[in-house]
Amino acid sequence: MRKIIFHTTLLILVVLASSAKIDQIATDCEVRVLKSELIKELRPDFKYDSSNISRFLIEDKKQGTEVQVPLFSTEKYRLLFNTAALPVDVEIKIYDKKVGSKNRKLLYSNEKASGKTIFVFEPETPKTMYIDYILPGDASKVGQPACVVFLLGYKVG
Amino acid sequence: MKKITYQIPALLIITSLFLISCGGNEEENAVKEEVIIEETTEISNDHNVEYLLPSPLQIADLFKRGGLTYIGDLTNPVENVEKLNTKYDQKLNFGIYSADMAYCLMNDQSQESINYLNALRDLSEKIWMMDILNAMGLRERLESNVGNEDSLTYIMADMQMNTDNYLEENGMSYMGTVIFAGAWVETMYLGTQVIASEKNENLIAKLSEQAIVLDGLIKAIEQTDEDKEFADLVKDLKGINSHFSAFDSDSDEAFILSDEMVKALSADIVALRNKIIGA
Repeated sequence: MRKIIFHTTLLILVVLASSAKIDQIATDCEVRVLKSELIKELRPDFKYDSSNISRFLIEDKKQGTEVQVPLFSTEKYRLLFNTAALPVDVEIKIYDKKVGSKNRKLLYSNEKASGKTIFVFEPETPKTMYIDYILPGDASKVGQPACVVFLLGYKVG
Repeated sequence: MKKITYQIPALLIITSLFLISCGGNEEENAVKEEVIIEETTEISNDHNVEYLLPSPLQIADLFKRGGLTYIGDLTNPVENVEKLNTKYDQKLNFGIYSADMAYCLMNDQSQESINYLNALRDLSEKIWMMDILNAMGLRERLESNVGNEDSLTYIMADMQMNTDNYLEENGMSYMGTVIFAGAWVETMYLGTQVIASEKNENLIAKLSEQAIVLDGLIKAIEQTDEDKEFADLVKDLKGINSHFSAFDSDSDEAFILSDEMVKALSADIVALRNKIIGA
């Protein structure tokens, strides 16, 4: 009987401990929560236009994704990023041309804003832009899920 | 056997505690991050590419400010929703009706807008989106804000965000691309038809600017369409894209379609739109 109680107690502890970790991972990319933080940064001048969620699994080597964003030249835009669901620092770089293009100009980088999880960029001359996310490798976090939430707002009138 | 029964829970506990402790060591992480920042400079050549598409509302808004006037019989009649029997048609026509609703809303056609909203509700259930529009209380919000264009566009922006959230949370993001394709074709149809009825340079400029959207739209569909379900649509969109071949995304000069080019583009848009709505 003692053995049964002991095993049951152990099992409960294991389940509780495991589920705590699972919950933590599951809530790591709560898109609605992350988006709602960005929505606050849109108001009152900009309206929601569209959004993109880039998902990653942390690897032991560097990885990257490029997001192509068409912007109409006559509009005013606010580009917002929430990186709170990333277990590693991410470099966000915005270019005027796709990767590999000649004379590619860097328009924005979050490099100097370390410690923040929300980044904002308002392009002066909108045109198609290329957002690069560069995630470093981290052997101790391999397999951990992560995401960057990007939200685009536009100004009317 | 006894050993095994002891070892499994013990191993699980150790593993769990290790997992938990890994998440909370901020100091260790900060040191590693410093080193890592040094080595990350450019994205590698084997990177992934994702395509963000604008909302149909923004394009409708852009066209409206470019002079898209209201012509009553241009939109796809709501009765046609009954003819849509395949998921393929239902998804694309969800986009068509979304664009029609936006067009009516922006032109103070409140009853027409409500009719399109009802058609969208029917369609959303058919394409497994459940009744998300009803859950947002959209009809009540639209009715209580009739005539207030600014509030209506905010309501539609909310609708777009909620739809995006729903599709994302249910692993259906690809459907957002297909819906956008339908909405884009319909908005282009409305634009070209209004230009045909009365020449408008501003609207032609807005129409020309759509060159920046179409290439990404085609690639976004191709990227997610593993079963080649939308191969025909992609082929038609590529045909339409050929009208924008003179567009240079690196040039600072505005690309404007000539009158002949608008006519040719319009013919292809009409053909594709008729194919989608089953006219």
